[in-house]
Amino acid sequence: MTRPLIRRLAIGLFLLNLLAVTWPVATLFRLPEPLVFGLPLSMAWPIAWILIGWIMLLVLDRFENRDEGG
Amino acid sequence: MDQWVVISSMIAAYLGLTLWVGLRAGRGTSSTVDGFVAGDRNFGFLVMYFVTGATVFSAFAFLGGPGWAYSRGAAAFYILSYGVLGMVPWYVIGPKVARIGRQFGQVTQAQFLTGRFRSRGLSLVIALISIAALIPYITLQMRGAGIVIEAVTDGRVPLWMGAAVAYGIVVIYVLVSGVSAVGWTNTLQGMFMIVIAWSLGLYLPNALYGGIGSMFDAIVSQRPELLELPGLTAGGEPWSWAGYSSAILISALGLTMWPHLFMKAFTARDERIIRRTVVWFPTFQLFLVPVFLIGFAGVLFVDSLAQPDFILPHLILNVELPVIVVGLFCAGALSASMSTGDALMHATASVAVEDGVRPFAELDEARQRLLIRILIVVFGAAAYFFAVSEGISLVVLLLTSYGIIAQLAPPVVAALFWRRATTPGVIAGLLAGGATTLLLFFFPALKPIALHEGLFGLIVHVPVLIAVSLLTPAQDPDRVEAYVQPPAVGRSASPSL
Repeated sequence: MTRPLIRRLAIGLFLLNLLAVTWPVATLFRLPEPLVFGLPLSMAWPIAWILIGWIMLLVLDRFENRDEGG
Repeated sequence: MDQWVVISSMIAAYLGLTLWVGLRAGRGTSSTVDGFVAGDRNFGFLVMYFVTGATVFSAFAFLGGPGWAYSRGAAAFYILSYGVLGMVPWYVIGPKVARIGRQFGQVTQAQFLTGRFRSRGLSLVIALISIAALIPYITLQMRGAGIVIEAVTDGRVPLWMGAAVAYGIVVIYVLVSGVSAVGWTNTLQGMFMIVIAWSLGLYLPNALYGGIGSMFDAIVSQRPELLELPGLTAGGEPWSWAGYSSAILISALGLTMWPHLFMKAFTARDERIIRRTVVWFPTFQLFLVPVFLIGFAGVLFVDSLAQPDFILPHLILNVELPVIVVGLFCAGALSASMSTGDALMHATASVAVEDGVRPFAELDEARQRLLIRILIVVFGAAAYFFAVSEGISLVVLLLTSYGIIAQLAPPVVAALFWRRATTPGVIAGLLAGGATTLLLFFFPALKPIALHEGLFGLIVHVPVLIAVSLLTPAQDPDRVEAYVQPPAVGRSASPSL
């Protein structure tokens, strides 16, 4: 994959992140049950997005640095 | 030995360690303004990571976070949701801001903006906005420190004395070592915060309920409404989705734009360090998970507390914890308070001098540094005065200041990405957006829907910025290109002055 593609992917993913944690998408994940790893679904959902965001940033950074040759 | 004596000794040892680290930090930094305000632009990754994390998560997170989870339930999850969104834009703008800052010798946000949009009035407006937003924030940190010390010493060390001792130490190390002290003490304090939050967050649900899963099972069966998004308001009514969603949006923008965080872009050694700091920030954001677990642990154990912000000290003192855990908790809370407070005090004084005074009066380097140091004491004293006065609703002030600070986003974006933006456009937008935010804060009945007032400010701000810019003559292309396409510099570029 190329750097511009990864960049576009990252922008898309973080826009998706914003949509996922706000109205109306977040209403699908508003209930406490089922518990996910012991945490209520309503709490596990934003935590999952922190982890997804972190992985996206790791991938993006790898590509940015590879193309710089560093 | 009495419990409070042991705890006080642990606090004293912790404060002593912080002071020692803070005083040592200044060695090797030049005695220039660049050194005092931007650390000679020489912060490495480890320091940047902890400065960013520890500065973002304040006493408000350490005490207010559990308080929100305890009293407002799922409403607290908005804090989980905005952090990464607020930090990600820095991956793109951080390196650009740092490059431009290096080229033109900038150390503050207003210098960055007025470098493209030349206006002393704009500089003064940004300085005033920043100071007005930062002082309540400092006050909250001081109160946080005072509350914790008062609670764990059973009132033997009152709030005024605890806040004075903790912040006396902050003032000393910031005066001596400038931003380098902020960097190294925050590294120590950041580690403390993370370790203590995770230890307590895992320990309390286990000790009280036998595990995290069983804790939430118990809460779901007795108070299911507490865990359903968007949670409750402070009054216990269901919160609106409009309020919850716009709080995420405005807090993310505010986080990106806070002057004391923005300025840290000028302290990084090179651009890769800024990018790596952003990449690893989500790991710091997860610190909120144990913080909320602590708050939820109190739900079925503590009957409605008059001041939910005291849930953490209350739990700590009432569940028969070993004294060493109480002492460590104290150190964690003080870390959270002081690591934000020091960056805030340093930034407030630096902004006041660099943006409020220097555009209007010639000052040599020595005078600038002296004036910054004097103002650190003056602003510290002002915040201390508010911290020990009762009856001022600081949290409300702070939440509103996010709305005002978010108004700095359109000018920053315009400076970096829009060639046609002009100085009158930026000033008109800032005034229109700021006025709208304040108007709707004081007269909330005027809001058409229950969104955050800062969001309405932006809805007015952006069209005004665009329209006035297009109606006024375009800027000098050289200056525009220096911002929109700043020349790349190598990793070993020397700081320019």
